[in-house]
Amino acid sequence: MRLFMKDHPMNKADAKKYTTRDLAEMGMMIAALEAGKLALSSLPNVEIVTFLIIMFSAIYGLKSIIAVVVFVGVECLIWPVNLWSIMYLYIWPLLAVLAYLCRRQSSVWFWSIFSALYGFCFGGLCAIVYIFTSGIHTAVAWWIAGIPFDLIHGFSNGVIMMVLYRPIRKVFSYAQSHA
Amino acid sequence: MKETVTEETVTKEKSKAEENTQKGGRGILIVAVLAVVVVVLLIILSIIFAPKTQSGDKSITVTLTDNNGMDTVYEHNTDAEYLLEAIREMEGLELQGEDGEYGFYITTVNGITADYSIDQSYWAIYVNGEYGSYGIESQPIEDGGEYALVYERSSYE
Repeated sequence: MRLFMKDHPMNKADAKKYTTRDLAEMGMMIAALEAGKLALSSLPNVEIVTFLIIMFSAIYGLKSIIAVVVFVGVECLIWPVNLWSIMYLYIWPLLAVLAYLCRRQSSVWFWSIFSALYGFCFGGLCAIVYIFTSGIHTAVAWWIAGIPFDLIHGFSNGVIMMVLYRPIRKVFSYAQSHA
Repeated sequence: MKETVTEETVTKEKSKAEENTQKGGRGILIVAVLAVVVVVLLIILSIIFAPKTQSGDKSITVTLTDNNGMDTVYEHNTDAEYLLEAIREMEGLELQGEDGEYGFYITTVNGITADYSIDQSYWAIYVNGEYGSYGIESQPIEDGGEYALVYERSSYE
Protein backbone atom coordinates (compact mmCIF):
# COMPACT_ATOMS: atom_id res chain seq x y z
CA MET A 1 0.00 0.00 0.00
CA ARG A 2 2.78 2.42 0.85
CA LEU A 3 4.09 2.14 -2.72
CA PHE A 4 1.06 4.14 -3.90
CA MET A 5 1.30 6.81 -1.23
CA LYS A 6 3.42 9.48 -2.82
CA ASP A 7 3.84 11.38 0.44
CA HIS A 8 5.19 8.34 2.25
CA PRO A 9 8.78 9.06 3.38
CA MET A 10 10.09 6.01 1.58
CA ASN A 11 8.68 7.22 -1.74
CA LYS A 12 10.07 10.73 -1.67
CA ALA A 13 12.95 11.20 -4.10
CA ASP A 14 15.93 12.90 -2.57
CA ALA A 15 19.57 13.38 -3.47
CA LYS A 16 20.60 10.10 -1.80
CA LYS A 17 18.09 7.81 -3.52
CA TYR A 18 17.83 6.90 -7.16
CA THR A 19 14.81 8.10 -9.07
CA THR A 20 12.78 6.15 -11.59
CA ARG A 21 14.73 7.90 -14.31
CA ASP A 22 18.01 6.70 -12.79
CA LEU A 23 16.72 3.13 -12.70
CA ALA A 24 15.62 3.38 -16.33
CA GLU A 25 19.03 4.72 -17.33
CA MET A 26 20.76 1.89 -15.47
CA GLY A 27 18.53 -0.62 -17.26
CA MET A 28 19.39 0.98 -20.58
CA MET A 29 23.12 0.79 -19.78
CA ILE A 30 22.93 -2.90 -18.80
CA ALA A 31 20.96 -3.76 -21.97
CA ALA A 32 23.39 -1.82 -24.18
CA LEU A 33 26.40 -3.54 -22.59
CA GLU A 34 24.89 -6.98 -23.02
CA ALA A 35 23.72 -6.38 -26.60
CA GLY A 36 27.02 -4.77 -27.58
CA LYS A 37 29.02 -7.66 -26.15
CA LEU A 38 26.92 -10.27 -27.94
CA ALA A 39 26.94 -8.35 -31.23
CA LEU A 40 30.74 -8.41 -31.50
CA SER A 41 31.32 -11.78 -29.82
CA SER A 42 32.32 -13.41 -33.10
CA LEU A 43 35.22 -10.97 -33.63
CA PRO A 44 38.30 -12.11 -31.66
CA ASN A 45 39.78 -9.45 -29.35
CA VAL A 46 37.35 -6.78 -30.54
CA GLU A 47 34.72 -5.59 -28.09
CA ILE A 48 32.60 -2.55 -27.47
CA VAL A 49 32.09 -3.05 -23.72
CA THR A 50 35.15 -0.92 -22.87
CA PHE A 51 33.86 1.94 -25.00
CA LEU A 52 30.36 1.79 -23.51
CA ILE A 53 31.54 1.59 -19.89
CA ILE A 54 33.81 4.61 -20.40
CA MET A 55 31.01 6.64 -22.03
CA PHE A 56 28.48 5.69 -19.36
CA SER A 57 30.87 6.48 -16.50
CA ALA A 58 31.88 9.82 -17.98
CA ILE A 59 28.28 10.86 -18.65
CA TYR A 60 26.12 9.15 -16.03
CA GLY A 61 28.60 9.06 -13.18
CA LEU A 62 28.36 6.76 -10.17
CA LYS A 63 25.17 4.97 -11.20
CA SER A 64 27.08 3.54 -14.16
CA ILE A 65 29.22 1.56 -11.70
CA ILE A 66 26.06 -0.09 -10.33
CA ALA A 67 24.96 -0.85 -13.90
CA VAL A 68 28.35 -2.44 -14.65
CA VAL A 69 28.15 -4.72 -11.59
CA VAL A 70 24.64 -5.80 -12.61
CA PHE A 71 25.94 -6.39 -16.15
CA VAL A 72 28.47 -8.86 -14.71
CA GLY A 73 25.59 -10.54 -12.85
CA VAL A 74 23.62 -10.88 -16.08
CA GLU A 75 26.66 -12.41 -17.76
CA CYS A 76 26.83 -14.99 -14.97
CA LEU A 77 23.21 -15.88 -15.66
CA ILE A 78 23.86 -16.41 -19.35
CA TRP A 79 27.23 -18.18 -19.30
CA PRO A 80 28.44 -20.92 -16.94
CA VAL A 81 30.16 -19.36 -13.96
CA ASN A 82 33.89 -19.96 -13.91
CA LEU A 83 37.14 -18.09 -13.25
CA TRP A 84 36.12 -15.49 -15.82
CA SER A 85 33.27 -14.45 -13.49
CA ILE A 86 35.75 -13.45 -10.80
CA MET A 87 37.83 -11.57 -13.37
CA TYR A 88 34.78 -9.67 -14.61
CA LEU A 89 33.82 -8.74 -11.05
CA TYR A 90 36.86 -6.50 -10.68
CA ILE A 91 37.95 -5.67 -14.25
CA TRP A 92 34.81 -3.94 -15.48
CA PRO A 93 33.95 -2.03 -12.28
CA LEU A 94 37.60 -0.91 -12.09
CA LEU A 95 37.31 0.52 -15.60
CA ALA A 96 34.10 2.31 -14.62
CA VAL A 97 35.76 3.82 -11.54
CA LEU A 98 38.85 4.96 -13.48
CA ALA A 99 36.69 6.49 -16.21
CA TYR A 100 34.58 8.22 -13.58
CA LEU A 101 37.71 9.72 -12.00
CA CYS A 102 38.74 11.09 -15.41
CA ARG A 103 35.23 12.25 -16.33
CA ARG A 104 36.30 15.88 -16.76
CA GLN A 105 38.40 14.91 -19.77
CA SER A 106 36.65 15.63 -23.05
CA SER A 107 39.41 14.97 -25.55
CA VAL A 108 38.92 12.14 -28.04
CA TRP A 109 42.69 11.60 -27.91
CA PHE A 110 42.67 11.13 -24.15
CA TRP A 111 39.85 8.61 -24.21
CA SER A 112 41.25 6.72 -27.22
CA ILE A 113 44.62 6.27 -25.54
CA PHE A 114 42.92 5.50 -22.20
CA SER A 115 40.77 2.74 -23.69
CA ALA A 116 43.72 1.36 -25.67
CA LEU A 117 45.80 1.29 -22.47
CA TYR A 118 43.10 -0.64 -20.66
CA GLY A 119 43.02 -3.17 -23.48
CA PHE A 120 46.81 -3.60 -23.27
CA CYS A 121 46.49 -4.26 -19.52
CA PHE A 122 43.47 -6.56 -19.82
CA GLY A 123 45.40 -9.84 -19.87
CA GLY A 124 47.56 -8.80 -16.94
CA LEU A 125 44.46 -7.90 -14.93
CA CYS A 126 42.85 -11.26 -15.77
CA ALA A 127 46.02 -13.13 -14.77
CA ILE A 128 45.67 -11.91 -11.15
CA VAL A 129 43.09 -14.63 -10.49
CA TYR A 130 45.53 -17.34 -11.61
CA ILE A 131 47.99 -16.25 -8.92
CA PHE A 132 45.53 -17.55 -6.33
CA THR A 133 44.29 -20.59 -8.21
CA SER A 134 47.44 -21.89 -9.90
CA GLY A 135 50.40 -19.95 -8.52
CA ILE A 136 52.45 -17.03 -9.77
CA HIS A 137 54.38 -19.01 -12.41
CA THR A 138 51.22 -20.20 -14.13
CA ALA A 139 49.72 -16.72 -13.91
CA VAL A 140 52.76 -15.10 -15.53
CA ALA A 141 53.03 -17.83 -18.22
CA TRP A 142 49.34 -17.44 -19.03
CA TRP A 143 49.65 -13.66 -19.23
CA ILE A 144 52.73 -13.71 -21.47
CA ALA A 145 51.16 -16.27 -23.81
CA GLY A 146 48.25 -13.86 -24.33
CA ILE A 147 50.29 -10.67 -24.93
CA PRO A 148 49.78 -10.65 -28.73
CA PHE A 149 46.03 -10.78 -28.15
CA ASP A 150 46.23 -7.97 -25.57
CA LEU A 151 48.00 -5.77 -28.12
CA ILE A 152 45.23 -6.40 -30.66
CA HIS A 153 42.61 -5.79 -27.99
CA GLY A 154 44.15 -2.45 -26.99
CA PHE A 155 44.54 -1.30 -30.55
CA SER A 156 40.93 -2.15 -31.42
CA ASN A 157 39.72 -0.34 -28.26
CA GLY A 158 41.58 2.78 -29.36
CA VAL A 159 40.18 2.68 -32.89
CA ILE A 160 36.61 2.16 -31.67
CA MET A 161 36.88 5.09 -29.28
CA MET A 162 38.48 7.31 -31.94
CA VAL A 163 35.60 6.65 -34.33
CA LEU A 164 32.63 6.65 -31.96
CA TYR A 165 33.49 9.09 -29.17
CA ARG A 166 32.40 12.36 -30.77
CA PRO A 167 29.10 11.21 -32.33
CA ILE A 168 28.02 9.22 -29.27
CA ARG A 169 28.98 12.03 -26.90
CA LYS A 170 26.85 14.41 -28.96
CA VAL A 171 23.90 12.02 -28.80
CA PHE A 172 24.15 11.69 -25.03
CA SER A 173 24.48 15.45 -24.57
CA TYR A 174 21.41 16.01 -26.73
CA ALA A 175 19.46 13.37 -24.79
CA GLN A 176 20.37 14.89 -21.45
CA SER A 177 19.62 18.45 -22.50
CA HIS A 178 16.20 17.42 -23.84
CA ALA A 179 15.26 15.17 -20.91
CA MET B 1 32.74 50.31 -13.41
CA LYS B 2 30.33 47.91 -15.02
CA GLU B 3 32.63 47.58 -18.11
CA THR B 4 35.62 46.77 -15.83
CA VAL B 5 33.66 44.00 -14.10
CA THR B 6 32.75 42.52 -17.49
CA GLU B 7 36.39 42.66 -18.67
CA GLU B 8 37.51 41.00 -15.43
CA THR B 9 34.92 38.27 -15.89
CA VAL B 10 36.02 37.67 -19.46
CA THR B 11 39.69 37.51 -18.40
CA LYS B 12 38.84 35.07 -15.59
CA GLU B 13 36.87 32.87 -17.95
CA LYS B 14 39.72 32.92 -20.49
CA SER B 15 42.31 31.92 -17.90
CA LYS B 16 39.98 29.16 -16.63
CA ALA B 17 39.61 27.86 -20.19
CA GLU B 18 43.39 27.94 -20.63
CA GLU B 19 43.81 26.09 -17.34
CA ASN B 20 41.35 23.42 -18.48
CA THR B 21 43.17 23.09 -21.80
CA GLN B 22 46.48 22.70 -19.97
CA LYS B 23 44.96 20.07 -17.64
CA GLY B 24 43.49 18.26 -20.65
CA GLY B 25 46.85 18.36 -22.41
CA ARG B 26 48.58 17.04 -19.27
CA GLY B 27 46.06 14.20 -19.06
CA ILE B 28 46.70 13.21 -22.66
CA LEU B 29 50.45 13.30 -22.06
CA ILE B 30 50.17 11.10 -18.97
CA VAL B 31 48.06 8.38 -20.61
CA ALA B 32 50.18 8.53 -23.78
CA VAL B 33 53.39 7.99 -21.80
CA LEU B 34 51.76 5.16 -19.81
CA ALA B 35 50.52 3.52 -23.01
CA VAL B 36 53.96 3.68 -24.64
CA VAL B 37 55.64 2.23 -21.54
CA VAL B 38 53.11 -0.61 -21.31
CA VAL B 39 53.35 -1.46 -25.04
CA VAL B 40 57.15 -1.50 -24.97
CA LEU B 41 57.12 -3.68 -21.85
CA LEU B 42 54.63 -6.12 -23.38
CA ILE B 43 56.65 -6.40 -26.60
CA ILE B 44 59.91 -7.00 -24.71
CA LEU B 45 58.31 -9.63 -22.47
CA SER B 46 56.70 -11.48 -25.38
CA ILE B 47 60.04 -11.55 -27.24
CA ILE B 48 62.08 -12.68 -24.23
CA PHE B 49 59.60 -15.31 -23.09
CA ALA B 50 58.37 -16.45 -26.50
CA PRO B 51 58.22 -20.24 -26.66
CA LYS B 52 61.55 -21.53 -27.96
CA THR B 53 61.48 -24.35 -30.44
CA GLN B 54 64.02 -27.15 -30.50
CA SER B 55 65.28 -28.50 -33.79
CA GLY B 56 66.55 -32.01 -34.37
CA ASP B 57 65.30 -35.41 -33.29
CA LYS B 58 63.29 -35.48 -30.08
CA SER B 59 61.73 -38.24 -28.04
CA ILE B 60 58.37 -37.33 -26.51
CA THR B 61 55.52 -38.98 -24.63
CA VAL B 62 51.87 -38.15 -25.23
CA THR B 63 49.26 -39.43 -22.76
CA LEU B 64 45.65 -39.50 -23.82
CA THR B 65 43.08 -39.39 -21.00
CA ASP B 66 39.64 -40.10 -22.38
CA ASN B 67 36.16 -39.25 -21.12
CA ASN B 68 36.19 -42.32 -18.83
CA GLY B 69 39.47 -41.35 -17.25
CA MET B 70 41.38 -44.14 -19.06
CA ASP B 71 45.01 -43.33 -19.92
CA THR B 72 46.78 -44.43 -23.07
CA VAL B 73 50.46 -43.57 -23.44
CA TYR B 74 52.11 -42.98 -26.80
CA GLU B 75 55.83 -42.64 -27.32
CA HIS B 76 57.21 -41.00 -30.40
CA ASN B 77 60.41 -39.76 -31.99
CA THR B 78 60.06 -36.67 -34.11
CA ASP B 79 61.89 -33.66 -35.47
CA ALA B 80 58.72 -31.60 -35.52
CA GLU B 81 58.89 -28.34 -33.58
CA TYR B 82 55.29 -28.07 -32.36
CA LEU B 83 52.98 -30.54 -30.64
CA LEU B 84 50.30 -30.60 -33.35
CA GLU B 85 52.82 -31.56 -36.03
CA ALA B 86 54.25 -34.29 -33.81
CA ILE B 87 50.83 -35.77 -32.94
CA ARG B 88 49.82 -35.84 -36.61
CA GLU B 89 52.82 -38.09 -37.29
CA MET B 90 51.83 -40.52 -34.55
CA GLU B 91 49.98 -43.74 -35.25
CA GLY B 92 47.04 -44.58 -33.05
CA LEU B 93 46.33 -40.95 -32.18
CA GLU B 94 43.89 -39.12 -34.43
CA LEU B 95 43.00 -35.49 -33.96
CA GLN B 96 40.19 -33.49 -35.44
CA GLY B 97 39.42 -29.88 -34.88
CA GLU B 98 38.88 -26.49 -36.41
CA ASP B 99 40.86 -23.33 -36.93
CA GLY B 100 39.76 -20.87 -34.29
CA GLU B 101 40.67 -17.37 -33.22
CA TYR B 102 43.58 -18.75 -31.15
CA GLY B 103 44.80 -21.37 -33.64
CA PHE B 104 43.82 -25.01 -34.03
CA TYR B 105 41.08 -26.02 -31.58
CA ILE B 106 40.82 -29.74 -30.81
CA THR B 107 37.28 -31.10 -30.97
CA THR B 108 37.80 -34.85 -31.35
CA VAL B 109 40.57 -37.23 -30.31
CA ASN B 110 40.33 -40.89 -31.38
CA GLY B 111 36.63 -40.44 -32.04
CA ILE B 112 35.85 -38.86 -28.65
CA THR B 113 34.32 -35.43 -29.15
CA ALA B 114 34.32 -32.69 -26.54
CA ASP B 115 31.71 -30.01 -27.21
CA TYR B 116 31.84 -27.07 -24.82
CA SER B 117 28.47 -25.73 -25.95
CA ILE B 118 26.72 -28.97 -24.93
CA ASP B 119 28.33 -30.06 -21.67
CA GLN B 120 31.25 -27.63 -21.09
CA SER B 121 33.72 -30.35 -22.11
CA TYR B 122 36.99 -29.67 -23.89
CA TRP B 123 40.38 -31.21 -24.61
CA ALA B 124 42.96 -29.77 -22.24
CA ILE B 125 46.68 -29.79 -22.97
CA TYR B 126 49.19 -30.52 -20.22
CA VAL B 127 52.93 -29.99 -20.55
CA ASN B 128 55.18 -31.86 -18.09
CA GLY B 129 52.29 -32.16 -15.66
CA GLU B 130 51.24 -28.51 -15.79
CA TYR B 131 48.32 -26.96 -17.60
CA GLY B 132 49.60 -25.68 -20.95
CA SER B 133 49.65 -22.00 -21.78
CA TYR B 134 49.59 -22.42 -25.56
CA GLY B 135 47.35 -24.00 -28.10
CA ILE B 136 48.40 -27.31 -29.61
CA GLU B 137 49.53 -25.57 -32.79
CA SER B 138 51.89 -23.18 -30.98
CA GLN B 139 53.09 -25.48 -28.16
CA PRO B 140 56.78 -26.19 -28.78
CA ILE B 141 58.08 -29.64 -27.93
CA GLU B 142 61.39 -30.58 -26.37
CA ASP B 143 63.36 -33.76 -26.07
CA GLY B 144 62.04 -35.83 -23.16
CA GLY B 145 58.89 -33.75 -22.89
CA GLU B 146 55.73 -35.27 -21.47
CA TYR B 147 52.50 -34.04 -22.99
CA ALA B 148 48.93 -34.98 -22.26
CA LEU B 149 45.58 -34.53 -23.94
CA VAL B 150 42.96 -34.75 -21.22
CA TYR B 151 39.20 -34.79 -21.65
CA GLU B 152 37.88 -32.28 -19.10
CA ARG B 153 34.63 -30.65 -18.17
CA SER B 154 34.46 -27.14 -16.85
CA SER B 155 32.77 -26.92 -13.45
CA TYR B 156 30.66 -23.89 -12.69
CA GLU B 157 30.00 -24.16 -9.01
